[in-house]
Amino acid sequence: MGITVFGEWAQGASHNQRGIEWQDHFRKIDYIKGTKIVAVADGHGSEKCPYSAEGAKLATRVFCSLIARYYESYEDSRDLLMFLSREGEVKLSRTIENTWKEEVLDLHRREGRDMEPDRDQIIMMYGTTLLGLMITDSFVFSLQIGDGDILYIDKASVSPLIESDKLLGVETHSLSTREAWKNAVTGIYKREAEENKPYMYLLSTDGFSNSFASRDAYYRTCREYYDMIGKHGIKVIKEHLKAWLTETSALGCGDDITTVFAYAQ
Amino acid sequence: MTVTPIFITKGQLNMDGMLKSGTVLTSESRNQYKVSKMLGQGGQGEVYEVTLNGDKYALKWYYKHTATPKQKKILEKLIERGRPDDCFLWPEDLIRKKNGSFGYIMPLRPKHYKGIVDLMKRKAEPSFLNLCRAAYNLTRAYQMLHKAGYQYRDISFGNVFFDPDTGEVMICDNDNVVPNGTLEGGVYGTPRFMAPEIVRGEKKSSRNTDLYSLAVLLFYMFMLNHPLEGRLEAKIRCMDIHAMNMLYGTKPLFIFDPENDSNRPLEGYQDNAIIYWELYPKQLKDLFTKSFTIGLREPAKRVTENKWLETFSNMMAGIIICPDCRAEIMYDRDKEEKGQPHICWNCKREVKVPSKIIIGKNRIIITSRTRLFSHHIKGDFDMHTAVGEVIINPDNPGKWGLRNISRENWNYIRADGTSILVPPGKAATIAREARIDFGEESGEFI
Repeated sequence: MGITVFGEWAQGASHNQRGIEWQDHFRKIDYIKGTKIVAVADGHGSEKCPYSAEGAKLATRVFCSLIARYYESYEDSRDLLMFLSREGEVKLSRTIENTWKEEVLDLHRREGRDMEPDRDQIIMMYGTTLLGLMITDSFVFSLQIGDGDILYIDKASVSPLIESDKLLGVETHSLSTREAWKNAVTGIYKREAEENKPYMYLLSTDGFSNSFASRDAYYRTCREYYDMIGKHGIKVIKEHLKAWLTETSALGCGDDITTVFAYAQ
Repeated sequence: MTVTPIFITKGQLNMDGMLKSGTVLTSESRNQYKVSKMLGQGGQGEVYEVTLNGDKYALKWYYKHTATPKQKKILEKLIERGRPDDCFLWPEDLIRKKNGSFGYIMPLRPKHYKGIVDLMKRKAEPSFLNLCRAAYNLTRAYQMLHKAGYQYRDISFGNVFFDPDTGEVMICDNDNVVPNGTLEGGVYGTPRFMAPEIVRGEKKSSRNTDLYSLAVLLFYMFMLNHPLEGRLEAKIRCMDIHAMNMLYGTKPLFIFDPENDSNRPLEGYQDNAIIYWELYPKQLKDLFTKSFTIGLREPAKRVTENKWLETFSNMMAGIIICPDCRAEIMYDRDKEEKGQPHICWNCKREVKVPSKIIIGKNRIIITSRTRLFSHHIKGDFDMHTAVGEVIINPDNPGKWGLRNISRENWNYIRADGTSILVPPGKAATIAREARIDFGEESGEFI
């Protein structure tokens, strides 16, 4: 299919100064057949969430492994498409939530951490958002719980693949809340892989968009990345990406930034 | 990032689809529809808002692999025969392109209609009365479809919408509807709503399998949980196709099976089912139990639409408002007969059951807003045409009457056996042991 997935992260300037660890995480799975599964998670990092970096890591693992399993269990991609369009926002989202919570509790136990708080409080310690994407040769599935962005960019447009409701200020929906699946937003975009090439999907944690004064400025920057990849190639962009993201955070909101690009050429 | 996780969100797809906005398409009936915007995508195609002479419609446009000659033939027949009930967003016009792709025009669903997923996510919170109305209207619509000789094949929460303020329903995705008994064609929908015999690959869809899917959908509406998703589902870490085949096909077990409690809902995970099951009358729970015990194994013994309709009409007529907290309580005949109290689910106080009028199988609670419908006195399943309404004497608020708003005369028979004619527009006094002869049925106040 000719899609290259690559990503980078930069520790937030404000986190760096305060000695806070990086709380974002991303993960990808490449299939020989060309299907890509990508996830990005942003640990909350507040005092109530001391293990959110681990929560974010688990979230990306859960998304990628579950989607991979669904992908492998459906012989016909059209059946998978039907399942995801019908059950993505309910059954799948619920499965992701429950699996993540079970893994969080397992980890908490394994690490010998304090089991005094109740189940919900323990889970809250690992609170994270989640962005997920599956790109097949005939459709794209996206899922979002909490803030962050999944964008589609081609020569003609920059547009969100799905949009989560914005909460006031810096608050976000979380995988750690009770019935978090109710906050999941999913989307199916049916497309031919060869259509409108080159195009790009961009997943980014909210630290990226929050570093710009406006949505327009953020979209303009995303387009610039798209243009630069087309002009200079993926290798060059990868070499400089960390420095650029670090600079963006320093000049912007100071939060961690993680971006993942899926570029089709 | 500092976070206080709270509730609830919804986004939208925001990309161009197969048809660009502004595209003008000419239909089989020579109408010219202009594409406004894409509304959504599904497994079979994309749905657009289109306009014709200022009026808005929906256009479903098929993907290449679903735009088959067989699908087109189905649509042509559906358009030719017309919708079986106003609830159906039925195909009205066909649009074809030279390259073989096609789509169909249907009415546009009003925005205030909500999906069952909205109900589950608590984005729609209808009253119990409107929930019962929605269940009634939905069942009635499928009954009309079946009576017209069709099977739906794909009943699920993705294609049903309702108005939380009125209980009116709309059913979309009608392009998979085929005559009952049609053997060809693939498997539609997802295993969660399919009858077990379809999941196991033993049978094709039919009216009987529709009845199963309808029961699942109704269970979802009332309990906000799947009838087979209890402990067994909670144990499954990845609900993939194999797990679904087991849960919904090869080893289905009702979460409230009276003879096997190994799949009861799990506290903390499937709380909706635990909470809501207790709120409803035995009459409804019995139908669900039959649907997901005998009905799992013997398709011919599934609950028919008439049974559901009788139950829903009784539930609508049996809603009591708690005098202390104004919550809606469901009257349960079984409790009354066993001498058990009705306890308000909200304030936990005992609620006294008001007077009733019993007309055949119908038990109608008398409140200041009670209305009798044609179905109550004729058994015709018409729950829209009101024939009687409770009125309160303005000079004596303790004196209530039932006004005849039908076109027929009623005969009012007092407890002492004397009788009086109640013509349309007049009212009969509501008094214990008095009866009204409505013509086809008679009712008694108790």
